[in-house]
Amino acid sequence: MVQKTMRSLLFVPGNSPSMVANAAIYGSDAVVLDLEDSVPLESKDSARILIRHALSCVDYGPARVGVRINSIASGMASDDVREVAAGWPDFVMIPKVESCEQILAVDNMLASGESANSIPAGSTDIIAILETPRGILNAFDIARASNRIVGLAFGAEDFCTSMGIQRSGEGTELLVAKATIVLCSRATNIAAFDTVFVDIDDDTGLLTETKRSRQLGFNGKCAIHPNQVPTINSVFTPDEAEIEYAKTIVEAYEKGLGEGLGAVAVGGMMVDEPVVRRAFKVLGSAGHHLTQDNFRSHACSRSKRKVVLPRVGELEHGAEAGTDRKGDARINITPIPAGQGLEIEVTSKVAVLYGTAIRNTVRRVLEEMGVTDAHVTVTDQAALDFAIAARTEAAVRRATGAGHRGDTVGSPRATLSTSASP
Amino acid sequence: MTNAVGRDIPDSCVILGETRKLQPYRGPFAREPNVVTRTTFPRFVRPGATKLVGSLREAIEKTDLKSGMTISFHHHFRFGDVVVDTVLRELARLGIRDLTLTVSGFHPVTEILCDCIREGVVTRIHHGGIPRELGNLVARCILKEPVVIRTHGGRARAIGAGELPIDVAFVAAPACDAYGNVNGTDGPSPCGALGYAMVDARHAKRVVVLTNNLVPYPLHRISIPQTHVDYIVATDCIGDPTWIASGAIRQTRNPRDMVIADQIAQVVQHSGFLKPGFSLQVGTGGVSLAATSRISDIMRHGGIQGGFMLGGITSVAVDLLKEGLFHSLLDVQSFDQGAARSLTETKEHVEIDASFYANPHSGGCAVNMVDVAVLSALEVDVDFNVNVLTGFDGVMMAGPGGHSDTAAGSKLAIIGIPLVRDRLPCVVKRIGTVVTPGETVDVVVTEYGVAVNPRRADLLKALEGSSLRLCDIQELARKAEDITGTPEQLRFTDHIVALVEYRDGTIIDVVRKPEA
Repeated sequence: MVQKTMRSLLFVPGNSPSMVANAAIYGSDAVVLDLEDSVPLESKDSARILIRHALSCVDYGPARVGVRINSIASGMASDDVREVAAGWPDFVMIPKVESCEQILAVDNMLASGESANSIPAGSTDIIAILETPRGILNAFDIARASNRIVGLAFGAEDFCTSMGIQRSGEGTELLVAKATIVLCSRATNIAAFDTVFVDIDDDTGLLTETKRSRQLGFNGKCAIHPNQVPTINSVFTPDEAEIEYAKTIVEAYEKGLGEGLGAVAVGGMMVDEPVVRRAFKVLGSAGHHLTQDNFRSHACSRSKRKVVLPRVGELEHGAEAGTDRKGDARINITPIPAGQGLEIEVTSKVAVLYGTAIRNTVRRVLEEMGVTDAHVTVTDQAALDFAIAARTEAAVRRATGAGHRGDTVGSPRATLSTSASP
Repeated sequence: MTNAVGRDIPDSCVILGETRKLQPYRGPFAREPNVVTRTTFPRFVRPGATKLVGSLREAIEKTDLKSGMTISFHHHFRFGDVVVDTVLRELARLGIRDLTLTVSGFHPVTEILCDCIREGVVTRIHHGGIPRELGNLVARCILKEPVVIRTHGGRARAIGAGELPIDVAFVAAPACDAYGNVNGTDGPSPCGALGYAMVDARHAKRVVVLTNNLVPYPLHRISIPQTHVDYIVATDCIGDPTWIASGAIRQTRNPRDMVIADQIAQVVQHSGFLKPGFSLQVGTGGVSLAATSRISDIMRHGGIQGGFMLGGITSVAVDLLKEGLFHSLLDVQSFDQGAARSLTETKEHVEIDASFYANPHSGGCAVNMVDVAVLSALEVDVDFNVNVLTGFDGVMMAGPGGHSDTAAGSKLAIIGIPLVRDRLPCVVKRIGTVVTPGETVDVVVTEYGVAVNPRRADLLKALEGSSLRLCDIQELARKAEDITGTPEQLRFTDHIVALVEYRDGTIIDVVRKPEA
């Protein structure tokens, strides 16, 4: 009955350990760890691993945690889901959805991921991002394609590209698409989330656009920068008068129920069911009176899960994972002849405090993965433990298989602003 | 012996060449002044005599500056300062050695300074803060005596009480007339208020002014009067005023800082202090400036006109004065050109000296009149004690400035600090060095929650009505360590590299040399 909606969904680049670790401190109702546009192609594998570790190790508090995977068309979605499903995110967001089949494909991937990792079947939700004309036109069917679907989101940048139009300030050109998404969401009783506002320094513009989103009927909005979260939250939070009025109605209604009455009067007005439902919604979105939670958070059960590391065969060649950005660690691994054991070299400005801890983590990961002989150098930029473990795992997996042998350092801001368009 | 914040303090220490008995810190207001030492010096200037001298060397010779003496400088040019270097170079050339150097705050650490320390020209340092480069050098134990760290108020007190006698004070003067009247606001390189230099000049045995702007007698706006000045040297450059906004001052859009600033503003809003006449002191860090902006939004929204703002003054404060949100600024140091300009243009923008600002043993200092102080920190412990001096590796990298003074004087002292910096937990069981005692700190604000000092039950009650996430400080420390993992304990040798003097002259902590 009452829905605790997600007012704000904050996107963070999935290959940045510090952003992945800090995503929850800005007060967004959901955090979305991104594997799509903010992650360069050659870092997809290490980003997936980082996200899997983060899901089990980082405390996201009351925020829901989702992962935006790559689109089905990219061919990377199944690898994405296989890896991150093990970390049991609350939801995955699928970009550029155009058909029900695409949803079903991810549904199946999630189902096998859940069963392989002893996760309750059907407990990972899906939010479909519609950002093409075909996607928008199929919105109603997509919304009903799977029981996992809890919301539709709009992606304006790609939509404009496929329409061959420029985005304007007032957004007239997006109205039909937005209204369609909201209508289809309402008709199928799921949520609708509006696209990101890309100018991160324009606070006034964000406020105007977010108010418009709420007016159109969206339940929340995606955020591309942490500083956007307070504005979005406040616009999608009913003000005090609204809350007070809703409280009065709900109290009267519940009192009436106690007395066996179905309809009651408040201030001379008859309160019937739609009014009560609306009041519950107001309180739900204000964070009050939470009786049923439509958007699950697995936070409690998730954080108790141990990160399971895959066993690998022999190291085939040298490889590297991670970057030299603050909060990251670059792990370089080279095979050495059998019997020489594990040689671990650590360079870190916080070595006096964490040198031993870093070495122990690297050793534990290598041992659990079955690596017996290797030379490892760790160039640490004060990374947290989960990041060191994830980077070590990524380096080992790169050293035992084909694929990329290192991460590129892109400017996270640059990739963000040009890309993340749910 | 153990002091009131649980730190082990030696009984005595050699300071300025003599063994002094150290008094352990006993509480923020436990020590009253008991010394009566004459700290202003008689001078004799005949009619017709000139104070202008041809060169710095001549001025130094005239002051009778000799090896073993104490020289002082002010830090109003911050990282644009050149006078410390100029004077040290000349002193080294003259073969003068074994000097005690006291600078009121941060200044550039140059090769010249480092050489002077390595070669024994400077053998003692009594500073307000130690930048990391200097901290690294000092940690190698190459000074004759431990560094003495003092707060702005504590330094003014020590100078006035004769505990830090200055033989020669050097003053970089943006404007000076031929008889030695000085201000910091006129001429081509204004640094604004001269609050720290004013105290040094008042109590030093001899005062040498270096100026690039000699003006006709008399100068109109006088910060340091002719009665304190002995010699004047005309020079090309006294410092680069574009650098006065360097060092501590940061404007921010950093999202974590914004989260912290937002909560600080909410603490202030619900504290009960935000009412007409409300007075505010803020630091110059990103969090403080962002918090100022949020607090002023609330004042505007609620139609609240504040009283004064105190401390280092930025153009952010000047704008609030002009807008009418505050009616006065008390300025001990101007932090940018906008503030320096405003000091001459606005009568409500008042220059004060360091003693007026924060000296606990004066007839009343301005920090006592502050309602709310927003301060930063490197670390806070579970007793609310604050470290603003040593880094994670035990090496000095910052300094108290007015931190302890303002915390002690204000009615509500708020520390804004990230719970974790990179992998360093900032709310911890035990901090490296205690600089500001927890007894004077009321609230710690982090991005994960707000901890109120249990001494302030009134405040806790007031904040319960807000939407702030209130938590026990122990919980914050646990949370920090959950995120970072438990760091190893640093190990220290017995060698003391610095004494940390509380503002009243007692010793609140010492800095020991870390084990290699």
